[in-house]
Amino acid sequence: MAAEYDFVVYEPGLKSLVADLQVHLWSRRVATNLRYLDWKFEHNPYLDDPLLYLAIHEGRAVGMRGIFGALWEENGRRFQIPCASDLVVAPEHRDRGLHSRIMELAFQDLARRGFEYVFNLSAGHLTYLGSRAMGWRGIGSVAPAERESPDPSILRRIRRQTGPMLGRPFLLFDSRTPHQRKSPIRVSRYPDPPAMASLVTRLGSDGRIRHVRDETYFAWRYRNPLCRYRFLFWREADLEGYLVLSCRPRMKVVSIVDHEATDVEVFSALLQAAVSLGTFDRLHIWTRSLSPPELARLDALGFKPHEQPPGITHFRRTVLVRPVDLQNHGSEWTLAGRRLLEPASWDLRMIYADDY
Amino acid sequence: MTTDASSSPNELDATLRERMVAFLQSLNLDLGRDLYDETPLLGSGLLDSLRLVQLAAWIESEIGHPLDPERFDLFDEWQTLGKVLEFIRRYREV
Repeated sequence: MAAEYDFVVYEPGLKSLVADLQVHLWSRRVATNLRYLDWKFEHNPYLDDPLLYLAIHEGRAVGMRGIFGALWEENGRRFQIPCASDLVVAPEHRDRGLHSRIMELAFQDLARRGFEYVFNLSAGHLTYLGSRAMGWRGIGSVAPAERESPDPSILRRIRRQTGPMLGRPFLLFDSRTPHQRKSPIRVSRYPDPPAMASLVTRLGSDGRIRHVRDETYFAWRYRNPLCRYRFLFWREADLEGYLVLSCRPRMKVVSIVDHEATDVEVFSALLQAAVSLGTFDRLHIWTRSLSPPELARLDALGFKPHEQPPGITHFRRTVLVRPVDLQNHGSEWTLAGRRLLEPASWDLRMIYADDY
Repeated sequence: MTTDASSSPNELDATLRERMVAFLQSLNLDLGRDLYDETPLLGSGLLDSLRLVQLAAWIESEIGHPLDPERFDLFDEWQTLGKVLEFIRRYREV
């Protein structure tokens, strides 16, 4: 196999090869893939160099793993820990061990760059098992919950009237958002990075591990060209809360990817607004890090746990963690003394995963 | 999976080993003609993700109850054929 493939670190001259390969993962449109590549790796605010690791065969990229920059915080201390993503092998080159060879190169390069850990928040089932076989460990389920629209007959009627909207859940949402004068809730297609970052700062942190959400992060993160977002803001003199909805084109599921609020009543009102305005077929959220009052509000609105049955052959979304230099790393996997494999160590939001 | 209640533990182990060898051969992996306890599985680089799912399903069916993958170190415990056999024996008793 060594003679057939070259395993190389990305350089700008390989950009078009990556975009061509990613028709198997990102978009069938190469132009869209180039925009995604630019956004995620070239314009990433945390890493200057795009970290992409490629298998090249006869002048074509036939396998790839992307590692994008991310900035995490624990109790106010900040840590650069990149996240693995964008694993793809061209169909005719699968079953040849390319994934493990690409990751060997990635771990060597990440070690050389001085990273201690790498995370992955977007692994599907195959990637999850493949990663576990390479020494990654999971923190347990993110505890997904989902709300299905309780009145399918109404939904069916709406769909008949709005055929072109199928697979575009925000069209209905957008058509239903005339601002009520007395409501403090406003809806936007765009983030408000200064106000959102200011709210996160005002609310502070309980010390658990979370991604840094500052103005830079918000301004970058919501430019993902593969997703559509809607922002619900509760504004008084200052921003008192926000809730972000995300969906991918042609997908029915809408996700609550981020939220912050000064109290649970504001959170509840934003949630209620998202539910009532959207009439979404399926509204999805991770509940692992939510407080009991927040969970109670979800329950009251009809959200149900959405776990797969137990067993290794059933996929459960998790956060994967791995020391870059596994062989020379101790058995305790900690960040500033906090145990990385303990679910309670994390304050998770779906937006930290790159597939939203 | 069928076991004979009158079989001795050694006979059961031999049957399990034979089933595992037959299963691995059915995956068409290039693991060599003869398979030993030391034959690397995860370390071989030959188990792609899809075959790993098949192996996981086979192990789970041999154990007879669902496995929580977060509760064991797959990387260590499935490294070789012998380690997988030991894993199955241990988890059957859980």
